[in-house]
Amino acid sequence: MHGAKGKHVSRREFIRLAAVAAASGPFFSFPQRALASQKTLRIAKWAHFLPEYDSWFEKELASQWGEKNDTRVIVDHIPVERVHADAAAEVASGKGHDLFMFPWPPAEFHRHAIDHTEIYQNVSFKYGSIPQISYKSTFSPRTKTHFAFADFWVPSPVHYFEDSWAEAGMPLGPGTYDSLHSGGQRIRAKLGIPCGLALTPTLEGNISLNTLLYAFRAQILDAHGNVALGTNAFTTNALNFVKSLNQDAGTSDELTWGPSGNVHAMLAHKISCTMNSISLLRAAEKENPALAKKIRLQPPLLGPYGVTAFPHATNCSSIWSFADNKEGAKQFLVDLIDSSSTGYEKSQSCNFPAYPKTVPNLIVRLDRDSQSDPPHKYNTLKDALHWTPNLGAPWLANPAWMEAFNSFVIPRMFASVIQSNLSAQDAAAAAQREVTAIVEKWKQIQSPVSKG
Amino acid sequence: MMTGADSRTVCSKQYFDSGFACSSLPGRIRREDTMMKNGRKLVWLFVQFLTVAALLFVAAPRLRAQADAPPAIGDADDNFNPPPCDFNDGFYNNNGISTSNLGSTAATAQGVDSVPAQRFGLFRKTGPPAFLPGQVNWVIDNTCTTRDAIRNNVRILATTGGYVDDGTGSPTDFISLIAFITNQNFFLQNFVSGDPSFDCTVPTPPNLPNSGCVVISNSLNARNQPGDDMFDIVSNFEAYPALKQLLPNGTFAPVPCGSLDTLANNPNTLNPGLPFNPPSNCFPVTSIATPQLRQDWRFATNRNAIDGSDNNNVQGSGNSGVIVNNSPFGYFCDDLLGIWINTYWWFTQDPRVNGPCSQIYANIAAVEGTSLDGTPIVKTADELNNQLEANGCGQEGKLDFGGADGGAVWLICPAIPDPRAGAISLDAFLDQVHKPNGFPLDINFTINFLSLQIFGVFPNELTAAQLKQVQSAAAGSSSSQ
Repeated sequence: MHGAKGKHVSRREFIRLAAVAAASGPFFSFPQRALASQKTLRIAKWAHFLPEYDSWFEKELASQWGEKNDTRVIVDHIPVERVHADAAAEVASGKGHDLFMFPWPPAEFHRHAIDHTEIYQNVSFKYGSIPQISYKSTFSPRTKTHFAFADFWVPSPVHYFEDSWAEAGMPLGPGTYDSLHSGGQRIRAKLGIPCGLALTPTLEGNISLNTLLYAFRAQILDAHGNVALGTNAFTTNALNFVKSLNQDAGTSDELTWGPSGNVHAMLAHKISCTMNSISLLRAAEKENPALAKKIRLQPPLLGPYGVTAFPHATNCSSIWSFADNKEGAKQFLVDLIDSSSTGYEKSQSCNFPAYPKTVPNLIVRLDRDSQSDPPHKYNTLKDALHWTPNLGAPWLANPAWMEAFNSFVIPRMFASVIQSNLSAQDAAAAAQREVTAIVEKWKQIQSPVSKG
Repeated sequence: MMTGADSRTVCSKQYFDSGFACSSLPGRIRREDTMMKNGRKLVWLFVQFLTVAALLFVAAPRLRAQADAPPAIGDADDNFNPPPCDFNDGFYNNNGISTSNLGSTAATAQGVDSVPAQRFGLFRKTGPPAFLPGQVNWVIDNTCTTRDAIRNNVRILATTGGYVDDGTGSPTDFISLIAFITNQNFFLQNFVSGDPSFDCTVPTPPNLPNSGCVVISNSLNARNQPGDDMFDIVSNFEAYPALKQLLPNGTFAPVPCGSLDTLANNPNTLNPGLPFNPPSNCFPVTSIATPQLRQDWRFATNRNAIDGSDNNNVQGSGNSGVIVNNSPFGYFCDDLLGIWINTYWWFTQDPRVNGPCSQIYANIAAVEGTSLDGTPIVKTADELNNQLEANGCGQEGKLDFGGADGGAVWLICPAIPDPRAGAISLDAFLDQVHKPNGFPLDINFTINFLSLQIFGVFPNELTAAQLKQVQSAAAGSSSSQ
């Protein structure tokens, strides 16, 4: 009988085992080397208003995609207020993440991104041609390229307390800017609760005030990309209105809120209404269902230009031209679209798909929301695409418009009038000068002789 | 060619336009003058009435003709468009509008049967918009319900003219001003239709509806959902009433009374070159009856999905996930009750004084003429938005949604989809703004209306002889004045 001890190993067998050991040895001895051969995809992603969405994105979506594509996916969540600075730093250093996901169109960084047209083309085979909001948020007419890929956007409806507004005879909400003023005035007088638009240089303030400006028919740039801000009475009308609104129906807190200050004020029922993404209502549903029941949604307020509100966020993913893993990033974005339906669900209806086919039963979902009370509360968003223009409207999201947006020209202009530092005319003129300088700067940068 | 701005030469002559000088005369003389004006007004209207009656008499054989060949315009067999009737209560409710009669004030009214709503069929049998003694605004007509199941038997005779908001400012819109909505309570928040034909229940997700109801959910969800669905829809359709700003005491009020009388709307704020308007110098907004208007209406009918001007987007699903257009906001396909939100608009400078807006006013007036206030007539969005408001020389606003201003916040005022071929019945009358002498402020409405009423077509389809007849009927009084 042959025991293990007595087993004779032939020369041929020895050589074979030695070869196998030599081949596999390094992996047992040095596991990091094995990982080194695995590709890496580094993603910088703006921190979503709902942490649950980010958790799903990182731990499920990105993780599973990484396993499937033999790629180590690293996701860094960046607070919204830091996104611009972090992106600028990466561009300046020429290194960082492969993929940078912005909450707004990154037109300012278009020279440092690859052309994303190929991604739109790949997606079109499955979900149709590029949606209007994606096109207008990511297309550069100068270079005829797409500097990002936009797959979802977040509507920004009006949130209001039904009980408070019923006291003003408006249980269905203010509806118009005029009734926001008159109804808000009555509510504050009667209940001591002011209305609360975000007026500070934050994302909320930027969206609210740019929306208001646009609804008052004022534009930063016109449909041809020329400076329109302050060129007519529309800008001063909007400025005077907000000053009057703040004085007659608002609160001084509106001028001091930090990020999400309006959200916190609503959750504490310190204000009667605000504009925000529905993450506000979702937070209320989670933290205080009784309070959430009183909060209702309404499409944007009707202004002289109509019912309109800029998206609270436009998810625009840019692959840097200096990215190490461009191909992986491209594939990730193409595959990302397949998860839009789950993303919509995980974002609790915040993320509206740019490609409608990806969430074909959107209206049904909005009509029968499992978390809301009453369940049809969210169906007011079903026409959100109708009333949501792209940032940059009436034109495209171009570098100058986005720089004005990210440097908070509009919130600063409003603040100077509300705080009586400047007259409406002077504030509009100052903002006009600032925007003109930005436009001229980008003309220089983008001129054919420029190396920029 | 429809009768538009280029045909206004008909009314270029000033007929008995007494102007505003009378206001400075002693009261007794003013009263006499008013009596004389009223007399002249009635004479004019009577003459016009007779002229139209004569024209109808001449045209009667044509109207009675049946199935001749080749078909001629105005034949009875061409009259396939029914005249407008009110909707039945169920249709109001199904579209999210209450028919309650509760509430006696603008702020407390609960539905279209309330006194403040002044619904045709219940109120306003005579009086504005009717302008002749004994003239009625509506009649009981049982054929309404047999022709169309969503109607009741109140047929509307008062046909209000308005400028179409497509950039041309053509006087070709004709609507039926059925009722006023004075506050949000009119929009039902809890209503479930018991009518099986309206059953459009949306199944619990993930199931999709079998009937495709979601496709038209903008309007029809109001049947089973809170009324705020219709509430949202109607915000997209604006009507522009132009109330008189010249007060009876001769003062020009550059701000509306009520919630719109704010610092932000003060002329001095809108345009620093204009004087500060003292509090209480405002014009009332409690009535939009025709005698309170300085010019005729304008309606934003261009926001219609048919022409694509509403920026319609694809955003939803029908049965089996089929992509559909879910947000057309088409007036005739979504706003089924024909509701408009009133956008009140006004001038910020007295047209009788020189100021920063004088040249702008003069430029528009040179094209469009002047209103009863002496301010320019405005027919297009460009004139209002880009020429007036952009320069702080005009302003617009909506009344308080809670009814605090006491006026009509919205109108139930369906536009006649196609005013040709019988939609303007022979007993209908045109509701339009008249000058103090009774002559129409814009006779092109009159010409279009009579052409439609008598021949069933717009004037561009008339023969030269017919057009002459219509123009004579419209302006017939000029020779008798």
